[in-house]
Amino acid sequence: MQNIEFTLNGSQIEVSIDPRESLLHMLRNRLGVFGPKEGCGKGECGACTVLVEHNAVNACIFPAGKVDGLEVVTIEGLQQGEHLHPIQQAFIDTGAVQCGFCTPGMILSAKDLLDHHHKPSRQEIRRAISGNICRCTGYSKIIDAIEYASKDVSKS
Amino acid sequence: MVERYLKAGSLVEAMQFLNHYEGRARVVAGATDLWVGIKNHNTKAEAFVDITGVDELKTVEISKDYIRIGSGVTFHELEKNVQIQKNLRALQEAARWMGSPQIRRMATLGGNLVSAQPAADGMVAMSALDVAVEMVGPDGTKRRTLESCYKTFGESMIDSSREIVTAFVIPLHNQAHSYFGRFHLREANALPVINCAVGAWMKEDGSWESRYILAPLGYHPARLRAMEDALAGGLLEERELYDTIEKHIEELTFRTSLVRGSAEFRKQIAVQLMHEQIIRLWYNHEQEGESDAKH
Ligand SMILES: Cc1cc2nc3c(=O)[nH]c(=O)nc-3n(C[C@H](O)[C@H](O)[C@H](O)COP(=O)(O)OP(=O)(O)OC[C@H]3O[C@@H](n4cnc5c(N)ncnc54)[C@H](O)[C@@H]3O)c2cc1C
Ligand code: FES
Ligand code: FES
Repeated sequence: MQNIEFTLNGSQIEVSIDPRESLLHMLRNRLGVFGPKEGCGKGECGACTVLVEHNAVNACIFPAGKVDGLEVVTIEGLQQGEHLHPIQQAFIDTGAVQCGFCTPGMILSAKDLLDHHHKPSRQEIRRAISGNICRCTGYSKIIDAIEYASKDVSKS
Repeated sequence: MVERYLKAGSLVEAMQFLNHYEGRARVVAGATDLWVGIKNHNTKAEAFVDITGVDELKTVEISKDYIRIGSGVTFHELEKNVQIQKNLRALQEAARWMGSPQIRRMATLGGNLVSAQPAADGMVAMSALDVAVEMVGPDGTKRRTLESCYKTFGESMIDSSREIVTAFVIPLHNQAHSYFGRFHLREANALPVINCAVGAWMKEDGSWESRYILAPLGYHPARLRAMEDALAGGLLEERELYDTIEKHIEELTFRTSLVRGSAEFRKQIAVQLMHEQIIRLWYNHEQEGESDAKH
């Protein structure tokens, strides 16, 4: 076991990890952070997506030891007090959530996109979520939600 | 039993860690191949040496004669890099199509080489660019050709418990052009059904040198040398070009994959894909004539 320190959703964390552990395993099983989901467990479905240093990555194949000294944001870190993040609100307003399993990952991929690109086209949105699989919605509402949120995010 | 996850701050420190463990540690870059293996318990090591914090491995330098790309440059960075867009089109196109946005954020060029997958997109593109691979190991620094880095399917000549690939050095030949094509079942899926890259440049004596690369065939990106010779005579009519490509690809042995299609399907896709890329290559040369533009 080995100790690492990092920032999780704005709070400084110290945790003991197994050096071959994934970030997803550490978040869910050691820290009780259940927003990131385990779907495929091998980088293909995007359900486990989190932000490391503002970039969307697959936590299931991301070594836990890598985040030592870095900043990690999960879906739990987006809400500001009572206020949902504009992307979260847009997913609700446009009906982009069905079972919700893919939603945390989708929203964080969308956040990576909108943080780096304020006015993406629908094609750019499609590409930005190409690493996130949704078995329920057929994607159109998700794309609507991200397009809708891009208007709010670019205002703020 | 893995004891430590070590994050190196410099190349010197990374080598010190590897030397300390005398072959029992393993380099980690983006981890997109390694951590899938870890979960399958395929990886044996006492320590992991993470090199993603090593700034020397993350630069793209351009000079009059070459571009030097650090092994730690990610596919996301490759896709966005203006020098690569301008000078190494095949590599930029490969970076654009490789993996998903999340994978491109993590995956590095060095890992793409050392994983030794025959259809690794970055290495298929590199094979059309006359690249040299730079590395550092217990005996100091050395350079290798790309092909010589492959041992067998999925196995590299580079010993990532003792050696670190530091950079890819690509000469900026006169009037060079390169393109990349890929056929996949779903965007953002691991490894394609077929990918190919083509490159050409003018030699000092005014004649043309070309590279036609296809994968997966064999254990590394395959250079179609016989086809290079057959097409060396100059531009052909489109039908004649297609027939020449078809004839050469017909003789190759493709593997049938349950996930990525039958050998016959792959062969047909390969002919189409190669034809499209060679048309792009030749058409651009015709358009630009004798200009002194590079790549
Ligand atoms: C979901 C998914 C989709 C993928 N899609 C594609 C795709 O479309 N196209 C494609 O080509 N690949 C794809 N891959 C494979 C993988 O992402 C690439 O091969 C990637 O470039 C590996 O780089 P890395 O930095 O993650 O390597 P790592 O996983 O960190 O390392 C891989 C190997 O290389 C060694 N290594 C890494 N860097 C160095 C170095 N500098 N010196 C010495 N040894 C080193 C490691 O020890 C290890 O043996 C995919 C993988 C996943 C999980
Ligand atoms: S669980 Fe990580 S990508 Fe599927
Ligand atoms: S809402 Fe169910 S998987 Fe996307």
